[in-house]
Amino acid sequence: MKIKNESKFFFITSLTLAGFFSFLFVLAANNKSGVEKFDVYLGMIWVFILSFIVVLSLVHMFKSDK
Amino acid sequence: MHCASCATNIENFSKTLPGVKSAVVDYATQKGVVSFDENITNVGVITKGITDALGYKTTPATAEKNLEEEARSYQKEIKRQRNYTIFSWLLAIPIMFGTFREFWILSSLVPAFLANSYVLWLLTTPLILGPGRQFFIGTYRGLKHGFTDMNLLVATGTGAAYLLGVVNTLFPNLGFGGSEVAFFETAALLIAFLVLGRYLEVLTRGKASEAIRKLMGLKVKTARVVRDPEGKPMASNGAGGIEQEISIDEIKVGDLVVVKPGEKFPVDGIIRFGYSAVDESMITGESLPVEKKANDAVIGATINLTGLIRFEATKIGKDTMLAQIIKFIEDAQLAKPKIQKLADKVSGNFILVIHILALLVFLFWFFVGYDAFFVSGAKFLLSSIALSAVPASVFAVLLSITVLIISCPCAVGLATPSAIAAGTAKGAEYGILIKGGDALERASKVNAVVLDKTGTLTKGKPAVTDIMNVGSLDANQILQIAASAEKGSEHPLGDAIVKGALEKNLTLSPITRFQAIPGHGIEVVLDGKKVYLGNRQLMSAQKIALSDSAEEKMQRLEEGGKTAMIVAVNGTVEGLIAVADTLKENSAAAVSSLQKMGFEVLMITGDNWRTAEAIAKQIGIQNVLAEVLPANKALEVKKLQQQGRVVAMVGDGINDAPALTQADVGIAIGSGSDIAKEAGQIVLVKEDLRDIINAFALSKRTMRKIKANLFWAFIYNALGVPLAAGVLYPWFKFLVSPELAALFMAFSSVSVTLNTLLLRRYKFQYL
Repeated sequence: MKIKNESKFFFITSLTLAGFFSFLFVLAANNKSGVEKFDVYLGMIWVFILSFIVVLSLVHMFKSDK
Repeated sequence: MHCASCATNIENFSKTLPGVKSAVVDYATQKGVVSFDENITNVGVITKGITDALGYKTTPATAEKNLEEEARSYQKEIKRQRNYTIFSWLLAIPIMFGTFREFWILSSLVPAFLANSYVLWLLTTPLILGPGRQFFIGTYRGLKHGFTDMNLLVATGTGAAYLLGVVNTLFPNLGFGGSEVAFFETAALLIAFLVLGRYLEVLTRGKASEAIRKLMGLKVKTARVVRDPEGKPMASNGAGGIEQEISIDEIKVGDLVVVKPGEKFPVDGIIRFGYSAVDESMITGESLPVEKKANDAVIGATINLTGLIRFEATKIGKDTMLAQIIKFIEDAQLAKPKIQKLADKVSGNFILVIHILALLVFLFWFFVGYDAFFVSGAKFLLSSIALSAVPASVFAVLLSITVLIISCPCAVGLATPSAIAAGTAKGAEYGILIKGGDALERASKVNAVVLDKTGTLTKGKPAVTDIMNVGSLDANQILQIAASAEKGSEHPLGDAIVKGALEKNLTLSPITRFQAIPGHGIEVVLDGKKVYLGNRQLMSAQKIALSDSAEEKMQRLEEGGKTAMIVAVNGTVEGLIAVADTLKENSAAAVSSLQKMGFEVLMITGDNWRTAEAIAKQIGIQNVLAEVLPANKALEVKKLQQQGRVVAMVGDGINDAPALTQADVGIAIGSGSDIAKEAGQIVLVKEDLRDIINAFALSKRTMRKIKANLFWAFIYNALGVPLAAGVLYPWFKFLVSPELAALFMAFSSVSVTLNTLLLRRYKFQYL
């Protein structure tokens, strides 16, 4: 049970961090001139996907090293 | 497990479980060993933990039925990947032709409808949903359980390419390049190459457990024991006991076991009653049957050839020699080479690095690059298509996807398995069977070669080597008398004498009386004369005197490692016959070549020092390891490894199996036991020892090919990734389209394959 919870925790952490990075991206993109809503949405999705994979890989690597 | 990183994931995860002391998981054999504290955890908790947390199905290794199950599922997996490969290429080739129709000189041969993006979509979809599904399922399972592997990179690349293809087909005006720039071929070729790589990998995998399966096959299922009427073991000669057939698992230490001629000994033990010749070749590798009498030890799985035996079981279950050999091989197979661990780590980090790079590329072009450098109408490299006035997000995503696609590890994935497949095929052509890349890799680094004596350097069958007359008869007469006398004997030395006589076309005379004297020789009556053939003890018992000159000749023969027998007729010694194992034709040439090439050559044998040194002298080997018990051969190999040598062990018997497995490379001789062949990583079918040199040469060449392939695969990434990231865009205003990225990727795979094919031209040399 503990193991299952740990995996879930890492997954949720990755999702949260990916969400946080997307949020940072949205903040930064909104402060940039000449950016359309379409740009922000597409960029937000892409940043979310890539940063989720990156964070999850990092968490995985951290677990392996530990 | 789908890849080496799966094994690493399970290994690392297992180590984090409470009570687990160590864990080793092997991808090739699909097995793992976990040591744990029984007070804290148990097998059930660990297997459940792995399944729950990582999603892998785990089965505790217990019985033979698991091995049968394993073999079945392995065959099923081969069939599955083969069908996927055929299906993938049947679809990927028309997709590729259709996509690149306008670029190709042979465009007139490709029907126009194939270039239609809807047709390409139709062809690509079953490829993604069929063979490609495994990568997406792997990714989903990985992400669900919180880890990443190569499946993720493949899924991101193919998924993004496929979705872009769909978007461009359905909404050509959205700004991704339109329907003319479908990305279906990218997804299709990626899947096709990766499925081919996985098929090649699965073909070489699983061979490792064959040896254990064969050893398990030697086990006897039932045994006949004599127990007292109360069912208790009887350690005496069994008088008054009841004979009953029981399952092998029910045998107890101390049981009196009955073995009839032709049957196998079910467990290890000590003979209490009976006399027989025992074929121990399946365990010791020695072709000659061994004579056994009361108080001699017998080994389980060996065959009782002639007499009825009653023996006391002394070792049962996991303590038998056969079980220990099996365990040794299992343990050795789980020992990972260093390079594999490094490769696992690199492949794990590769995914992360590429995704970080893709993210950085996106962020740079979105926030900085687009405003600073973007101009409408920029061209894609090697294409007439111009980039329309796309927004910053589309431009940055486009470059980011191109980076992901160009970095897809197809060529990297193909580099090793394709070269290994070519190298092993080339070896097989010349009768050198090589089991997988590990063996090739390790063979290329060998600097010490340990050769087993019997059956490897020698023929393993005794033959008459010398006939010396010490009386009035000539050599042929001595041989004729000895062969006539031995005609009725089943002793291997007698066989050699009879064969020697027949080779010389001598006519054998009938005998009127035959008596075997165990451990000494035979007594026969031939043409009315009493003939004795045997050792000194026989002559001494019959009070037949051996002259000084005969004794001197006998000692000389024995010093040469030969078994000398005395022939006496009517109480007078007439001659000596020497029988010995003879050298194989090319043994000396092979040893000499190995030494010239700089290998340290050693000979290992269970024989006595005198015989061993005599043989070593004939071949030209200076380093001899003699009187080494079967179980200690592996220890001797280990000692050499601890001294820093990379050891290749060449052997043929089951007794060599642990040493073959312990060695960095085990080379089994084709004529030897099946077990040795399975335990060895390289098998020489032709029995020509010069093939050892060819095997080393081939392994070195294949390793060079793998390194060249990896170089080319990585050089594509090293050049392709910066291009795809748009480094040249600020100055030259051109981009690499995802389509061209896929072509680069495909071309890198093709170049790697072509480079590998050059290995086919390699020819072996027999020095």
